[in-house]
Amino acid sequence: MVDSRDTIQLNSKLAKSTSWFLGAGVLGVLLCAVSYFQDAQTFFASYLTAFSFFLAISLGAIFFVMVQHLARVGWSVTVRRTAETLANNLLILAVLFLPLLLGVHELFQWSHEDVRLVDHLIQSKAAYLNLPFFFIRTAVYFTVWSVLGWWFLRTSRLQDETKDPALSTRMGKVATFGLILFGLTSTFYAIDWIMSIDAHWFSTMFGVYFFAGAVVAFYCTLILVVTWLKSTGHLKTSVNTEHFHDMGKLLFGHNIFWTYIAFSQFMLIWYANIPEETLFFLHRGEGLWKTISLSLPWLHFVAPFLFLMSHNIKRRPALLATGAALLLTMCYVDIYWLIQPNFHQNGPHFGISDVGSLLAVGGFYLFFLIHNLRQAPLIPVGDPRLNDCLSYDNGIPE
Amino acid sequence: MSSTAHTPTAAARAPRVFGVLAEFKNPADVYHAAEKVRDAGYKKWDVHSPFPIHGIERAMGLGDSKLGWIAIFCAMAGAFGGFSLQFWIHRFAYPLLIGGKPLIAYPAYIPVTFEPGILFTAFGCLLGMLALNGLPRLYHALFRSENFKKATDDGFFISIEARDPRFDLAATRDFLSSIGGTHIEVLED
Repeated sequence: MVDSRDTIQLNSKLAKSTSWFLGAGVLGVLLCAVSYFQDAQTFFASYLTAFSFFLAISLGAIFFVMVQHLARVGWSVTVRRTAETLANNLLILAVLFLPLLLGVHELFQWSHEDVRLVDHLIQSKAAYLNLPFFFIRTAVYFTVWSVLGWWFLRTSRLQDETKDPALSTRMGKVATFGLILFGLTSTFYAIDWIMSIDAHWFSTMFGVYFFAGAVVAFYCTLILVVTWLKSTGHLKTSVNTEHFHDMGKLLFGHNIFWTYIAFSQFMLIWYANIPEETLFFLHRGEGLWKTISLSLPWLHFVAPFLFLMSHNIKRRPALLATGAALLLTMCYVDIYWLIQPNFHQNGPHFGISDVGSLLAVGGFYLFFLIHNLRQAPLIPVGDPRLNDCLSYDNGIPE
Repeated sequence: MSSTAHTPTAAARAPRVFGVLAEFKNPADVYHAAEKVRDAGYKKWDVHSPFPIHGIERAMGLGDSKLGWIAIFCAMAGAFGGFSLQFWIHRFAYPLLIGGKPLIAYPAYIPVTFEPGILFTAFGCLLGMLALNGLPRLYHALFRSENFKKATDDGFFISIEARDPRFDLAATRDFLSSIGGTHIEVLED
C-alpha cells in the first residue's frame, strides 16, 4: 500500500507556479507575434522546431504508457501517472499546432503550384505531397494522438476510483492497436512536417529517427518532472532510488538506440554518396552547421553514454536529472538541426522567434501539464500492480 | 627409500577441514541467518539456495561485482583493436582508395570498431564471470555432503570456509547452530 504519509496530491504551493507558465506562454505569444511581422518564414520555422520538440516529448510519453500496459509492467506504476499526463498534453498540442496551418506555404516549397510545375522531382511526388491529402493526414495524426492521450489518462483516473483490474486489461488491449497507430502516425508526421521541407531529399529511416529522438526526449522529461515533484515534497516514498535507476536505464538504452539509428542513416548516405541523398548532410556540413552536426555524436551520444553508464549515477536523482537536462537540450538541438538548415543555409539563426516559440509552446505545455496533474493523485492508486512497484528492488548492493 | 615413496606420509593423509555447512528451513531463515553471519564479520562464506533469493546480496554484504570493470576494459580493448586494425591496413599495410573516400575514412570504421568491442565484451563477461566464480572446476568439498544435494531442490544452506580468518571449528559450529542452522556438518577438503 502507498505510505499514508506520502504526498500524492499536488500541493497548492506548486499549483501556483501555473501562473508563471501561463505568463511565459503569453510572453512567448507576444514575441512570436513580433517575429512573425519581422519575417514570417523565420517565425514558422522556429515555431515548427519548438512545436516538434514538445510534440516529441508527448509522443514518447504515449509510447511509454502503451508499452507499460502492453507488457504489464510493474516497476513503473508510480511514475506512469506523470507519463500519462504528459501524453494527455497531446490535446493542448493539437491546439498549439493550429498556427502552423497558416505557415504551410512558408514552410513547404512543394506546396507552391508554380514550383511543382517546373520541378520534376516534386511533380513525381505529387500523388503524396499535395495539400488536400496533406491536411487530411495531419488531421488523422492529431485525432489519433489526442484520443490516445486523453483515453489512457481518463481510464487510469477511472481506475483510481473503481480499483477495477479489468481496466488494466482493457488498456493493454487498446495499447496493441494504439501502438500500431502510433508507429504509423509518428512516422508520417516526421515525413510530412519535417522531411518534406526539403522535398527533394528522402531517407527511409527518417520516421524512426524522429521516434528514437522522441523517446529519449520523453525519458529526460519524465526524469526531470519526477525529480521536480520529489524536490517539492511529493512522492517521497512512492518513487525511490529503484525507480530512478530504471528510468535511467531506459534513457541510457534508448539514447543508444537513437545513436544507432542516427549513425545508420548517416553511414548509408555518406557511403553511397548519391547526390540527392548527400545534399542533406552537405547543407549541414559547413560553417556553424558543421559544429552543430558534430555536437550530435559527441553531446547527444558519447558524453551521456559515459555519464549514464554507471548505476552510481543513475541511482542519484540529482546527477541523473542533470544528465537528463543536458540530453533534453540536445534533443532540441537535434530537432533544430533537422528543420532549420532548410531555412538558414548560412548558419544557425537562433533569435527572438526561437525564444518566443519555445516560451509559447513550452509555457502552455507546462501550464496544461500542471493543471492536469492537479486533477488526480500523482500516482495511479487503483492500479493492481501498485504494490509490485512500491516494493520493487533492482538488487543493487549498498 | 622405496617404501616411503609408496606410502603417503601421515601429514599428507590427515584431512584438512574445508569448512562448516548448516541447513536452514526456508529462504526467510537463511536470509536472516546470512545477515547475522555478515554482522559476525565472516568473509569467506556463501549461501546456497535452489533459486535466487531477492536481496540476498545485501543480507550477505556483498559489494559491487568486479565484472563491470572487466567488461569495460574488454570493450575498450576490442574497440581500440578494431579501429587500429583498420587504420593500420589503410595507412600502412595496404593503402587502397575505396569509392572515392579518403584513405582514413573513419565513419566507415565505426561498424568494425563496434563489433570487436561487443565481441570482446561478451567474451570478457562470460570468461570473467567463470573466473570470478572459480569455474570450471571438477570437484568441490561441499559435494562430500549427502545433505547438500538438497541445495538444488528444497534445501537452503550456509557454508563458512576454514580459510576465513575468523574461522574456529568449535566456535563457528556453535555460531551456526545459534542462528538456527540444523544438520551441521564439518566438511573435509
